[in-house]
Order: sequence, then structure tokens, then C-alpha cells
Amino acid sequence: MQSMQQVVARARAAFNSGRSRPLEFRIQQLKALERMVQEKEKEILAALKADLNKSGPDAYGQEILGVLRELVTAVEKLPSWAAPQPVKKDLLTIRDKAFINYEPLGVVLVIGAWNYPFLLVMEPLIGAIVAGNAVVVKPSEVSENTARLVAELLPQYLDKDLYAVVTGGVPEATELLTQRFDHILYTGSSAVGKIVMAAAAKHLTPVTLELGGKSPCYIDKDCDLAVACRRITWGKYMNCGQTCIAPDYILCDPSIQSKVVENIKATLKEFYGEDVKSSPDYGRIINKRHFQRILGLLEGQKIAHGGETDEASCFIAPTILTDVSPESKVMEEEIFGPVLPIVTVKSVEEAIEFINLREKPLALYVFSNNKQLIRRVISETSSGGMTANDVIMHSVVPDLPFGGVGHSGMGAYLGRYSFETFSHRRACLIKDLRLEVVNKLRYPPGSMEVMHL
Amino acid sequence: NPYAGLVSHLRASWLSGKTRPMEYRVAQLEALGRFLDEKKQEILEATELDMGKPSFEAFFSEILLCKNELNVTLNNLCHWMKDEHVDKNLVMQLDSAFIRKDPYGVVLIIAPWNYPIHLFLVPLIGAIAAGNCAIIKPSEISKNTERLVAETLSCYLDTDCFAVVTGGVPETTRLLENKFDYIFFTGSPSVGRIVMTAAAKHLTPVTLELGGKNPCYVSDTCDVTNVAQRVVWGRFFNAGQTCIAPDYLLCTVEMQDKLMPALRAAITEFFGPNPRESPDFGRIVSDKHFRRIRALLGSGRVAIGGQTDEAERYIAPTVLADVLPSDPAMQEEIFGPILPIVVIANMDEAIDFINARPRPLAIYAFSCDSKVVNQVLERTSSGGFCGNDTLMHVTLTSLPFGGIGNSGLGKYHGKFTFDTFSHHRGCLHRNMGLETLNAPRYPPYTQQKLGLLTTTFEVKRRGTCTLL
Repeated sequence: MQSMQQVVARARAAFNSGRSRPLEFRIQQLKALERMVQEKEKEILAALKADLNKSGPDAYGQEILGVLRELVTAVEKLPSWAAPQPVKKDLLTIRDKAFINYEPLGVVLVIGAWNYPFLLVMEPLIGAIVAGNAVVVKPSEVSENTARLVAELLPQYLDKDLYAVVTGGVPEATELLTQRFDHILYTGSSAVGKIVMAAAAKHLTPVTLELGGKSPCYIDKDCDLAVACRRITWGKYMNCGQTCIAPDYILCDPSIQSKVVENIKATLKEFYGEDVKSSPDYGRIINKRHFQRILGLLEGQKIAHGGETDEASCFIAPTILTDVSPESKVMEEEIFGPVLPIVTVKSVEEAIEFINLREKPLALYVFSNNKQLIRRVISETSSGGMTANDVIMHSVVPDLPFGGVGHSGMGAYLGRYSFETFSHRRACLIKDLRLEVVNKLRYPPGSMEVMHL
Repeated sequence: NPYAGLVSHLRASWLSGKTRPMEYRVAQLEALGRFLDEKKQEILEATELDMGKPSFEAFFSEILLCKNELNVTLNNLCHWMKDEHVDKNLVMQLDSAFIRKDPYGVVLIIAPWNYPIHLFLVPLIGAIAAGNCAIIKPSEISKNTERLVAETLSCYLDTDCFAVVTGGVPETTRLLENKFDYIFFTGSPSVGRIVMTAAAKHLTPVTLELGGKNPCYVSDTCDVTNVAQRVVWGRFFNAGQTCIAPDYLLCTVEMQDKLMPALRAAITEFFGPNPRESPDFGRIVSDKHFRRIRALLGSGRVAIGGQTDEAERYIAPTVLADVLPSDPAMQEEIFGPILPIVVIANMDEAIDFINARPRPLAIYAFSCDSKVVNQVLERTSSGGFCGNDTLMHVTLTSLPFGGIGNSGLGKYHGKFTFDTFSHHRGCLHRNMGLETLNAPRYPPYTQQKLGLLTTTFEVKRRGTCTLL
């Protein structure tokens, strides 16, 4: 087993050889990744099923589709993304060449998360490759089947020295973080995000941190409740609630609380049938530790629906809590599970204040027929991203940046933003060595009169 | 925590929303413009006291360049603040997808001493333009400017939203214990690490404008006179105390011989036969830095200059010839009026020399042969690059200014400053109707639904066309 230092050193040497720079090379690697996803689809879906009990179509739609889309976009757009960008010149530089050159950073570290274990390793990897970097990938050890598969597959399709996979848990990650990288993209919790950034600070390494938080979902009295609740149910319970941009909790007026519960219940039946546990489309909690954690959040809560659990299979039924107190445990941490608390608020002002008293979330949702109200919620709050009248969907719009703010993270990626995150924008000015006459103005001996020209 | 009160006061102002309307931001920016106009004399005097900054230079960097940034911002603020609408796919045609520029909140700007007005003011322009509140921490080393800023800025800016904090290392350390929503730091890499480590505790994003040794390669085919003038200008501006100054020269031994008389001529033309008497040549900012730079004179051999006067903190414009990579002048960023020349055999050796070292803030290459300039550009990495001149790439507001690796992270100037201090928030405003279009995404999951989903969401490779 190679030491972390050796892996990183090999990647750096490979980067310094310059072979990851030509666009043809990058496209070739990206096409190889595309082949990998197509040829190994069965194996990838099997790993996702083993790790998170994701069903075939579900896993394909959630993880593989997004990866394929990112690959096709990268291959198509690379020539235009990578082209030097001329900039507007001023009087002094009118005869010069002024442009921004997009250059690779060097060796990038990608640390994946366990909830979308394939997607969250592949999307950053694609971005790092398209920008011309060498990459060290560290998949989450919690989703162990996918981690193992990624470690097996990548060397079969990609340049082994430029793109390396490192497996392991906390000790291995800690050692890895002592090495110098030129960018680190980490997806995971805010607590570990702080550790990653502190480690990066020692080497002045820029970071992109895709963290989390409690994404609020405000339902206005004036809205189509049936539609709103169907969309919310979809986003909340997909992947058994283990989605960084899932609507974490609902804020609504007490007068519509029971209607919200009824609508969600009806939708749940529509989605998963009478016996949720036997639905092939309903996932499981990743492991016992998280199962216990989420169970603990139910203590003392009014369960309006669900609440059934089975530790052996890490099953927690889709659960709705009503009249939740803002001070309770379930309102303190990101739930990351199929438990949906409803906190009642009397007005949109109260909802906005509630949201602003808390850490900035990764996503924010608001449902209303009133455009003014929506605009107000957007402009008076802050979040990584947001969707009005739906959930999750802002993350699939190709040209929107995906990232957090404050405790939910820093930086952004996906699509063009990946390319820019993993590139250095180098300012370039090329002047003529002749035409010294223009420069005379700036040379000493100077005078204030000359300056006022 | 001595600054907790101040920070929470600013945060309360921020939460009140008063910095958000465009009119407010414009009013504050215009006030900054008045600060530059009305306090121009005081600024020139303070910077002269601090480091003997020649009035001409001070006007150029502390007033003119700042006003340019201000005007670019005022001219474009409305446009920059607008939501940016983006392309949508088939399913979202009735929706609205856009990027909002949200302010971060309360930001901290830490400025160094060498361009003490410029290096807090230009970031501040962006911070205000983006709708934030700000705490400004000027450098205690340029103490006259520090006092000027602390005493007068409050007469121009809204004191509920903008504050100046003075002090040295202990005060800055206490200040950094607080949570800020963005930290913008200009200074040395070692302090940059400390700032980023403090920021990590609160998950505060940062921009670090640091430094390094900026190499200047002079090829054998070049107009020696023009090269000498441009290099001398860039090296000795502000007595060498410029983060993007050409730090050392790389050239062949033949070019070193050709350059020397040209460098001497340029220095004499600019500063006269005795630069100590020229009003256009600055002084070293402190005794500590004076002694540090003086110690570097024992590198190679003094070909031009070398005179010093401790009482005045004067170091003559100096060129050192035949400097070795192991010499003291090549171990640290010089940040003074000394130009070492390191002899190399050819361009390839120069490129290898540069690439063996930490990536600098700027790389300069001089040649009449544009292929040579391009080679150096393509085969090296640096914050910015300027071919056939020095410093000038940072005066163009449409170019980003920032470092890479040890020379920093992030960038600013022009719109880049506004973008630095805004959170780009991806927003999607969907239609409540057309629920049938969403059907393929809902469980129970089927292959058929997946097929539909794939059709609407995937990006198809553009068809290739073969001519038969």
C-alpha cells in the first residue's frame, strides 16, 4: 500500500510532465470515463444498492444520469471554456494584447461523501480533469461498496499516475490532508469542513467546501397545497432523506398544518404504496450510527405520521412531526433522514426572521402563488441556492452554480463553474517592446502637471 | 473579546438591510470619492512621512488608480447587481432560472503598509458595491496613514456599517477571533496562513493577496534601452516596496553586460546622479525592513548603487550582478530597491529556474520575439503575467488581480472585486402548474419513467456530420 506522500508525489510528477494540459488528452480521459459509466453500469448500480438500498431506476436517475450529463457537457464545452478570454482595454493598453488565460492549478484533492457516493466523487473529478489537473480522489469509506468499486474502476480507464484513488477512513484522510494540494473540494459536514480548511490553510490551498445545514421550506397559505406537498415529499424522502439539499423542515401557518400532513400522507401512499418497507423505491439509512442518531431526534416529538423503525435493516419510515418546538433537538442539527418537522409561524415575516436567526442553509424553499412574497423571501434571506415552488431542482439547471454560503459552504461547482473552480485565471498583458514614447509619461522625474493630463 | 461589540453592531446594521439598496451603496461610494478628493493632500503627506513616497507615485497609486476603480464600479454597479438569467432546458421553459448577487454580511479588510490607501480602498469599493458592511484594519506600520484613515474615514462613511480598527499584531489576532462573513487580506504568505487558519474556525471564505519573488526574464533579442527603463520603473517604484515589482532578473551573461549601462542610464535619467536628492525616489518604511534589505546587499557584486543611510532609511537604487541562487538576495522577497541579476544560459534554463520555485504573483518576460514571450507564458505559472513591461497588467481593471499557490488565492479589481464580495446564489422560480411534466421523476420508479427523464434532462452530444 502506497503512502499518501508517494501517491501525491506521483500525481504531482505526472502533472509536471505536462501531459494533462492538451485539450485532446483531457477529452480522451473524459471519454474513457464515459465508457466506464456505460460499461460498468450494472456494477455501479449494484454498489449503490448495497450501500444505500437504492433501486435501479432511482440510482440511475440520481447518480448516473447526472454524471453522464456532466461528461457530455465537459467534452462539448472544453474548447470554449479553455480559450483565452480577451478583455476590454483602456487607452494605455489599446495597442496591447490583454486576456485571461485559463490554466490548471496542479494536483486537486476530491473528498467524496457517502449519500450520493458515485455522483459526489465523479462530478468533482470530471471538473478537475476538464480543467487539466491531476486528481487524488478519496471516496467516503462509509459507502464502502462504492468506494471499493471506484478504487477498482478508475485505474482501469484513466491515466493511473495522474488520477489516483485513495481509500480509507479518518486516519487516512488526516494523513492525506497533511500533503500539499493546489485545490481541495470537500463534500460533507460543516464540522469536518473546518478541519479540511484548517489543514488547507497550512499550505495556502484554496478550498471548495460543499457542506450542509437545515434547508428551510416555507409554505404560504396561498398556494396549491396538493402540488406543493407532492414536490416536497419527493425531495424530502428521496434517498431516505439523506440529501444535502433536501427540505429539512417546514415552516407554515398553524391553520394549514394538518392539511399539509394529509397531503404528504396521500403522496407517500402514491409513491411507496401501503407498506413502505416493501417498496423497492424507498431507501435505507446508511448505517447503525446514523440510524441511532435520527431515532434520537424523534424523542418527545408529536409523530403525525410514520415513526416505525427496524434497526436490523436500518429502516425508518417516512415520518412527519407537528407543532415542533424551535428549541428541540430535531431543530438543532441537519436531520439527514426521513423525518420532516413542521414548525408553525404566523406570517412570512416570522418565517424570514426564523430563518435569519440560524446559520445560512445550503438550500431554501418557498411555496406560494404570490410572486411578491417569493421575491421578498429571496431578497431578505441568504442561502447557497434556492428553488421557489419546488425543491432540489435548482441543482439540475446546468448554468446555475452549486454551492453553499456561510456554514453551508464556500465556492461552487458543476458545469462551467467546475471548470472555473479548478482553473487559475491568469491575467496576461503583452505589450510591444517598442513605442516607449507612451511610457515616458509615467517615468520620473514626474510632475503634478503631467499627471493632470 | 474586545471587538465583539463592534462586530455585533455592524451585524445588526447588516441585518436591518440598510446596505442593500443601490442608492445607499452609490451614496457610500461617492463619499469615498469625496474622501479621495478632499483628503488628497493629507494622503500625499501621510504616505510621504511613512515611506518617503514621492507625490507623483502617491497620486498615481493612491488617488488615480483608486478613482478609476471607483468610477468603473459606479458606472457598472446597476448592471452588476442585476440577476443573471441563465439558459433553461425543455422542462423549465416556463420557469425563471437566475443567479442572484447576495452580499455576504460583515466583511473584514486587512491592508498592508506599502500602498496603504489603495490596498484597503479598492477592496472596500467592492465590498460596499456588493452590499456588505465592513471593518477596515489598516497597517500600523504606515502609522501616519493609519491615523489619517482612522480619524477621517468616519466623516465620510456610515459609521453604523463601516468601521476602522487600529493596532498591531495583538489587536489583529483578537479581531480575527470574531466571525466575519468574508476576510480580505493583503500581506505576507506567513500571515496569510494565520488569517486562513483563523477563518477556518468560522468557515469564513477568504481572499489572500500575498507575495513572492517575481522573476523577470530578459531574452537576448530585445531593445535594451526600453527594457532597462521599464524594469527600472517597476523595480524602484515606491523604493521597491511593491508586491508585483520585478524581484530579480534572469538573463545570459552577455545580456547582463549589455543591460548594465542601460540600467545605469535609466536610473540616472529617472533619479538624477544622486537619487538621495531626488523627490521621486522613496524610502524604506521602517528600521527593521531597512536592516533586512541592507543585509541582502552582500549578494553577488554591487554593480550600480549600494549606498545606504540608516538615519534616512535610504537605500540607493541598486543592481547586483552575478547573483547566485544561494545568495541571501535570492532567499526571500526583496521588497526593496535592489535588483539582483542571476545569469542563466538560455530561455529553457530560465523557465526551469522559475518552475523550481514557488509560484509568484507576477512573471515578466522581455523579448522582441513574441514566440519567446509566449513560451515563458505557456510553460510557467503565476498570478499574472506581463510581457515586455512591468506592473502594468494590474492597472487594467478588466483583468483579475490575484496570486496562485504561495502568492495567494482569489482575485479582485473591477468587477472581480464585486464578485469576490458577493455570494452567487443559484435561484430557480418554478411554475406551480404543469405538474404532469414532473411525473417521470416520482416513485414508483420504472424504466419507462427513467427513459422519459433521460430524454428531458440529458445533454445530447451534437451530431457529427460526415461528408461522403
